[in-house]
Amino acid sequence: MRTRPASPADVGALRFALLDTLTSLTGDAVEADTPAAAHLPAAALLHPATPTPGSDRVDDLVALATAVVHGADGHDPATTGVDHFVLAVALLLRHRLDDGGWDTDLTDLPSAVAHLHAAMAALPPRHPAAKTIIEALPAFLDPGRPS
Amino acid sequence: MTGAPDDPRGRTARPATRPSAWFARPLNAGPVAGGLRKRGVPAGGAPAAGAPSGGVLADGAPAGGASAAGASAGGALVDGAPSGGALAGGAFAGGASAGGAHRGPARRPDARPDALDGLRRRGAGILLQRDAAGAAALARDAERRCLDLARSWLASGDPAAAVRALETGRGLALLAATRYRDVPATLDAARRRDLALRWRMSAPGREPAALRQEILDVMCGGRAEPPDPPALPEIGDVLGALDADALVYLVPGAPPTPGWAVMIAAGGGRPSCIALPGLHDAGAPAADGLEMLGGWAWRVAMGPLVERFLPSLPPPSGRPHRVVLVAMGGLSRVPWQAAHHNGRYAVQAAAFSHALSAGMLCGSAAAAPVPVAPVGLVVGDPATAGPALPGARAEACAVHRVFYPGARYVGRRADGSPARSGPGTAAEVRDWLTDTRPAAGAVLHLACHGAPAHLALAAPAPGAGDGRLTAGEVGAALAGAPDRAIALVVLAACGAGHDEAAGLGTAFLAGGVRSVLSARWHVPDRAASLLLFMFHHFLMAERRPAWDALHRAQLWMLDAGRTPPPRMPGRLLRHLSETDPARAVAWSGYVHSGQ
Repeated sequence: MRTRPASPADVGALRFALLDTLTSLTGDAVEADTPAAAHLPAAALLHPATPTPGSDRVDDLVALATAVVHGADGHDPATTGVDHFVLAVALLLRHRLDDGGWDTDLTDLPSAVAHLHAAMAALPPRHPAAKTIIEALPAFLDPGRPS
Repeated sequence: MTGAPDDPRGRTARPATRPSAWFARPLNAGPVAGGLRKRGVPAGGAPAAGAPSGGVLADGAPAGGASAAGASAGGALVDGAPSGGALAGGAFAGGASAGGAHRGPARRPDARPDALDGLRRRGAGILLQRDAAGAAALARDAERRCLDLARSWLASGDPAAAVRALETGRGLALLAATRYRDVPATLDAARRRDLALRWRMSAPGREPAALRQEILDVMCGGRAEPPDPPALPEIGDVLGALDADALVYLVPGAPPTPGWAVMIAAGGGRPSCIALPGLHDAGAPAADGLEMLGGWAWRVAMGPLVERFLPSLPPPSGRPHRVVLVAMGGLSRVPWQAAHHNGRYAVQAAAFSHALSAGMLCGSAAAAPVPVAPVGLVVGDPATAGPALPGARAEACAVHRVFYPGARYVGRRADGSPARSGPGTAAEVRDWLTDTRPAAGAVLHLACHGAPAHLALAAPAPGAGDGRLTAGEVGAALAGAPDRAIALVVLAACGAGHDEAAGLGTAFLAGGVRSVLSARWHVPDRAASLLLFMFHHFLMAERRPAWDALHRAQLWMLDAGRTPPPRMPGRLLRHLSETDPARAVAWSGYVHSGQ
């Protein structure tokens, strides 16, 4: 087939938009100047002291994180790992907010865990985000409770 | 096989609908040309010399022509100058060049071009009607007269001129549907209350010409005519760019004159045509079942096209033959893909897309494709006064979570509880249509009740009735957001693409949406959920273009050996076991338009 292809999305711009959304939710508590550090405000959203974001903000978070993972080329393991971790957090937050209503085979939790697994598989062992992910694990193991 | 009644997604509550109920509305929507033959038109089709443009001539010009020239049976050779190459059993008429000779009985000046110009100038009259209904009625009348002219040109072997007439008629219909605005309100908004006052004080239809022109200048910069029809080579190029083999106009006859198929091949530009004696609005079986209608559709049009025209085209590479249908008049209500013969459907021979006109197709093709990502808005069975649609709800939930997990979900969830992100109101959809933030995404899936020109969405407040989203509101919203890029809108609502020019599908396409999937007829709820899940599967999981994704989904429904993809949720798997996806009513109701 020779249908004209669509121009790819600007994933770099999407990552910055995602970082802006994350930092707006965590305030000054976490410093993250570049998308490479997006795992820090993402993990902070799972902390009990962080106010639970509103529904619209979580929807935006999931949308941007999904668009980033979907549009990324996957060439850089560290970037891939951070992208997947942020999406895992976003989906976990949405799962908490949804509070039922979906059939068991359509809840967000399995997807969140799958992206967490993808993040762990992609990140180089000594990457700073690896430690963040390990610290966030309890939130995924007991999704009803913040870590 | 069939379990519980599979309700259609109609606008209002209906009894368990017969599978064929979607086409129960009579197909003879408009008057036929036979009733117009009254003002001294020569039998051969040439109008009387000196007939005034747009009036007398258009009233009567074409009616007598076709029967004399080309109404032999079975898709007959009309002209001795075949363009597509000789074919077994006949040839397609190549036709005279634009403006060339036609088969009139006498050497009189051909007044038809002037008649077409006169009709084209009716754009001003359409835009200056006192209400939308008047504009639509005037446009319908003009479109009918253009259709008469097209038949006349076809009968005299000039398909190129016929294409101009058909495009002009559709352009006028589109003008009424998408550009008509309430005149005084528009003038008030433009701070020209002086003009609005003079307009209100004028007798309807007898406004001074200077006032009309002044108003048109304010409303539309003085340009009140539909856009020029695209040139034939441009249509051919666009078909190539869209990976389609041909565009085919289906023109209903007006007994005793035949109907016609007018074909433009990709990369070509010279149209050909074939007379189809049985093709007319009133010729379809009235209400005796989809199978009977499909048999009729094969006999009168799809048989000759599939068996004779398609084999004359270069074989496509890596895809099936693909045809864009422009069905005129009541023929737009026929599910051509479900035409069948000897147990085989037309959709198994070719993929079909639909277009309101070649001009509209060219407009869609000119826009840059928008990437499809798993982000957008999914509306699932919002609470309305109509009955619940559990199939639509299951479909929306599945489509959201499996293919568009980044989308916002509004309406009702699988268990019937309200979605966290919103009840699914018209305002939520309008806001999304104009949202240029990257988080908005570019795909809209609407699984709800519908009608040709509006969707039934959740009420803005309890007890406030249905929250309607009209085609006019869609057009206005998209016109106000020129930077918004939307890749795909799926109107998974009964009949939402039915009334072509004034319908929702046209409103989305005219507003710049690249591809639209719409239900032309009442579709069984649970069967539709399977078809649409499979459409998104082929689109997102297998990365097929929208037209091909629909075609593959339709073939999957027809395949007795079909296997569901691993990610099909349990609720849809149950639908699969409770319905018969191969029934034509289950898969043939949706059509693709646009890129």
